[in-house]
Amino acid sequence: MESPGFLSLSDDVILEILCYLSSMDLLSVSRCCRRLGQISHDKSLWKRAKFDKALHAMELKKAISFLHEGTKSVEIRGFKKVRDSKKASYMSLTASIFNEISKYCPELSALNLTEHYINGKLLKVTDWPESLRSFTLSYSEILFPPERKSYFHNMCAVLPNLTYLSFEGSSVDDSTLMPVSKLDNLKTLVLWKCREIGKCIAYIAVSAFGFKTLETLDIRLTQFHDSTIHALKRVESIKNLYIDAEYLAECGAHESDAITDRFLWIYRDVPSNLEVLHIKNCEITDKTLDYLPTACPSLKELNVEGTEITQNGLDTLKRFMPSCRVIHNLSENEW
Amino acid sequence: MSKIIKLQTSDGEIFDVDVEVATCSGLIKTMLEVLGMDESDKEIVSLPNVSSAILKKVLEWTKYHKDNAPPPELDEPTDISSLEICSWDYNFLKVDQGTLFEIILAANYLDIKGLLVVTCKTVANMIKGKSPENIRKTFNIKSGFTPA
Repeated sequence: MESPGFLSLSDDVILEILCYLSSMDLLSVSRCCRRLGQISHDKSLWKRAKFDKALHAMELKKAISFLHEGTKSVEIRGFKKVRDSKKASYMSLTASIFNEISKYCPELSALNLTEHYINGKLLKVTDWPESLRSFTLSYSEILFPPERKSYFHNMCAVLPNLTYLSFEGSSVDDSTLMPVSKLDNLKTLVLWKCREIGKCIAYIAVSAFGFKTLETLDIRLTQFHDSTIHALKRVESIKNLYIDAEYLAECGAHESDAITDRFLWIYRDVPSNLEVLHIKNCEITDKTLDYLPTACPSLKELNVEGTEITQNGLDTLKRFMPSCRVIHNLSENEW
Repeated sequence: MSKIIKLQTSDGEIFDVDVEVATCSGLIKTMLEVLGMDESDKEIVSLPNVSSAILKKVLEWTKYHKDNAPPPELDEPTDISSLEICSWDYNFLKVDQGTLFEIILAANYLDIKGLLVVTCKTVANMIKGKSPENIRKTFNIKSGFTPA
């Protein structure tokens, strides 16, 4: 008896095998032969698509044709890290690609774009899929933005359902915060490693009038400092605030632009709703811990790694806030 | 003493198998339920789609997992699943491709979900990271039109 080969398996069994493969592997399988091409289009394989190797516009268009109305999340990697070239051929994201995405998956809820050069002339905010609830633009850069206004201008009209927005590691500046603050349902904003963000007090103060629903704000490794954090005082809905000042020293910020014990003064009069507070690598001492029980009465988690806080201070805090979990890097025998 | 069931393979060989081991197969379990357990020890269950070499492998797998590590309860199939398999399975499935596919066919026919999952993962691992040309080479697939 001749031993069976791969293609002697039934479609059902081949499908069972394909469900363990990544989107990129499925694209390869689909190109093996006609039958595998058909099976790899099965809708169950494309609920989440992750194109994590950079694809040229034509390949990307082909890949998008696998998506369908049940596709909930799509991840697309660009060429920024592969080849730091701003040549047009490495800017794979265009309005027509986004039209295709909206056409194939009208209910797409999460889009993750990473390592892209986005050409502001070829892809405008108005081209983005309207259904998005979660949007990530990480380690990317926008080239040729419109003059005299932010690239993201009017995004609240285009993405009314957005609850999660991340610009992790992207070159966006404080002017971006203005349109972002107008997003009516935004709960989480991640600005982690956005190294141009946190400098301009004017933009930040104005945007603080928005952010009506913001609960989680991640400004780790940005240029936020005492004054610009103070400008956020108005945003009362924040429950989780993540700060890590390590980058401030590194980027040559002005000496006065630090995160110090003054930072919690914003909550001197009106206590915050903070439940999680991370203040890693800030110039913060035990003084802040004295404020903490009144400034943040609902605090459940505090991270003070890399600060000047002492074991003594933590012991005192423990008495006032026994249920608060404290993360620190003081060794047991340090005091 | 536990009950024994007789299984006959495509090449005519008859296996005496512990009922507890045999009923890891959804197919045999259903057959026994339909036939009734009492009569089963007299009857021979015929498995025309499974050769004795492959049934031996399948029984080795089911016995091991019954006695040692029961395969983890399978949740709803997810599309992003781990490709990890335990080391015993990994060594057990170090066989030629023909045998591997025959085990898959048998696991599918006998309805042994755990064995099907682990064999499918093994094949998926053979595909992972390969170009279309290399996948064709690996499985000896002719490009273009292939009879379905």
